[in-house]
Amino acid sequence: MLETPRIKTVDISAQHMIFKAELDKVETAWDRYDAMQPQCGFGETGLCCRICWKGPCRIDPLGNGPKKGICGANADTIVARNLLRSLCVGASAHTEHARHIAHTLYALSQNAAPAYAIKDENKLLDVAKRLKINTEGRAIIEIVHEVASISLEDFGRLHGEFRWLNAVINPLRKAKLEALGIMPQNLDSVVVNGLSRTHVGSESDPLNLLLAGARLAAADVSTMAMGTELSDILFGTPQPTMTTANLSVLKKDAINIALHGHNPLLCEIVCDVAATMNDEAKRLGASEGINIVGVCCTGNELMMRHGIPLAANYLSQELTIITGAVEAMVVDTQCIMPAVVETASNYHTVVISTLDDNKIAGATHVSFHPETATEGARKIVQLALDAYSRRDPKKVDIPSNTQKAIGGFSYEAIIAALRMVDKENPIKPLIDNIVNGNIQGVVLFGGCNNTRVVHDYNYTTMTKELAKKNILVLATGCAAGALAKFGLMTQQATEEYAGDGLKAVLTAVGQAAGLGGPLPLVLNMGSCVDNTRAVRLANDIANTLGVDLDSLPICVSAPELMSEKAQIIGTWAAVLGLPVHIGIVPQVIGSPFVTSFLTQGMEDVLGGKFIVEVDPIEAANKLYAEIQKRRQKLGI
Amino acid sequence: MSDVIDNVFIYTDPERCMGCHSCELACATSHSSYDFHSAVLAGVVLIPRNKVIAIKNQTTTSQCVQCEAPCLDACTSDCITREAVGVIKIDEEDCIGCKLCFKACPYDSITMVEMPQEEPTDGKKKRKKFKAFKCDLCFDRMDTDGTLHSACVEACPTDAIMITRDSSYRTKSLSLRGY
Repeated sequence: MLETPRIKTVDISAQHMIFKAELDKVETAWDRYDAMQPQCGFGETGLCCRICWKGPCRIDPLGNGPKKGICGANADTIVARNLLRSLCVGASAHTEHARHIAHTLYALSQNAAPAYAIKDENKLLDVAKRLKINTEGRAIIEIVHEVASISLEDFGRLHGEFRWLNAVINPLRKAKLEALGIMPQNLDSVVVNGLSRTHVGSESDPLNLLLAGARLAAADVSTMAMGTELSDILFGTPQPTMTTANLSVLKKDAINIALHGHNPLLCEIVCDVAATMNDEAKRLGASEGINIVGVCCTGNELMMRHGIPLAANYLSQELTIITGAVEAMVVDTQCIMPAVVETASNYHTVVISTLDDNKIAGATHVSFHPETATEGARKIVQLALDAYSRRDPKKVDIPSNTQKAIGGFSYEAIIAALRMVDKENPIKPLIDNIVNGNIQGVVLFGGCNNTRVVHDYNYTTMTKELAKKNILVLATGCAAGALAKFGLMTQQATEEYAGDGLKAVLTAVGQAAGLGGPLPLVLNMGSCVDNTRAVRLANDIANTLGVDLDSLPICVSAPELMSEKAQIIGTWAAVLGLPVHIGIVPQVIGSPFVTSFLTQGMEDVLGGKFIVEVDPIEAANKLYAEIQKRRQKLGI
Repeated sequence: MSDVIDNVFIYTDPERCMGCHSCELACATSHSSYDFHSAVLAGVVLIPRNKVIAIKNQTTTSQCVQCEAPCLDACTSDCITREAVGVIKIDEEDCIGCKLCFKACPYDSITMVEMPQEEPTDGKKKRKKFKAFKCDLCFDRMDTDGTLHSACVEACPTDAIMITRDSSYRTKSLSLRGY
């Protein structure tokens, strides 16, 4: 009997490259996934405890074997502890991201970061105001210094006001967190506290462990906002821009540099430097000069601020190299598959790691520091130019179905578009259309890709399903990458997929904003760290109505998540009061207590909860039902 | 004995078994209409027909070796059958829980499991109700051409588990388990 091959992706350009990978005999994540089957049931259920070296201990979820670890920890304790550890790691990744940017801003205020500048003074003043910093009659550099100092203080703040938290979480939610005793004091100690509680013989109360996760989540949303907003100050607040997406954005006659990772500190400067080295590239025979493309969330950062094309999201990162046309893949941190080095060894591509605390085994390392950013970037671009002479034209095969996309819908950009409809009260047209039902609700897609799901399938299926039902769709991170590649960030997609009410609103706002047509079906709000842009928009709606987020017809969905960062982001969305769909069965189901708390009990305490549904159509129906439930409660 | 020679059974190589229990999870879910996640939420107890066991420094699995089937002879309600493919199968729906098969099994390969029951409304004492379970090589998942797809074999991450008709493995399996 002939076996039908498993469908791996709905991204046509990725399908093309998976086929090429087979011909080139180059392994991809899908091959490694197949080799890994079956995956361990105890890991899948969260019941494997490796916290101390008496272990590993495993609880038998079927009830015949051990019900307790050697120390006596039961399934609930083990699962809750494992989850809290994962959430700590996810939060740490955001913390280091934001800290890196805050340090750079501080260095700038000391004239020690010559490659950087304040690109958006209005944003600086807006942030200063929300951090309660006096700006009257002060020089810009003084304000920069105070914004950076206060941000850095927030990491280890022992006394006084946690400024970023107060700038991000609305007053009603703060009161709720205070009442539950889960208000964090600063960014760093919550992670340390969370980890310490999971040490052998420390906390074993599963509910208290989960509440520690909720406290951590409240700090994490504040850290992420810091990362995003300080980046806007340094590199500009995104505005709608036209761009292209998928692997077809690579150019045969250019020196292609793929920037991959998360932090804009690196990629922004590489772009600046590459622009000055175009002539050199042309002298080497690349008639189109240097072509920069983005991968993963760096791709979103670049697309949002500069309209630079996005080649791939998480699961198609290796395929970028498999085109045979990439001279350099430059990486910083998070979600970089160690495999890219081996993939690159089959072609001429040089993989360049850049952070001293994030080295990639086998990669060429160029130490990148804010103080000497331009020199570092020049070295990186030079390595790409050197690699070009080694390119084998016979191995080059670039897909040819480029997809158009509109990116750049920051909070500010959305408000600016709405202001064209109502100058005095820009949030009003959005609220009015939610109340009158033209827009039934809002779903924010975020998260990753996961080999357990057909690549990008859940995102594209759910978006079409929800848009049809007049749900406004926002996206970040690899969700945004998927939807851009699939053509759902275009005006044509609005015409094709939006329900009548949604289409009318997107058209009215798009026309008023001078786009000559509707807003795109999906609004790209940025990289995964940028999810707080959507929180700010949601808070504006809530504050105007005098309610908390747990009343609003707004949901979050991470239908293809995998990373610990996605886990903590989902957690803070639920802690802020929103229903959060996940399309992957979480590694907690070995504990009935944790499973039922996250999917049911949490709603009574915090208003938000997790909804686990692996079928995308069913998931869309469930989110729609949640939205209807909330509309009914609001009486609209 | 001629029947036994034809029977198929599961053998787990202790040299390859890591003791991860994935086969137990796969067995339990493949014999249920629930997946693991929905079973947890619904409070349904999943029951494996195999068991990972440790012998000295090694691990293997313990399950029915599909022998001469004294269980079949012992069953008074005709719910144990010898299927053409060479599998001894219990019809779990019809099992009355009399435990005769359990007592007849020479290799402790039948498990009696107490079934959840609602409280009697007539004030009478709740009577315990059991059912017999054992490995049937996932008979219900068999292809029409007789190809078996035992969940434990598919779930094993180290390919330690196999389906065989080679009776020397039966002897090996039983002697590992002390028979």
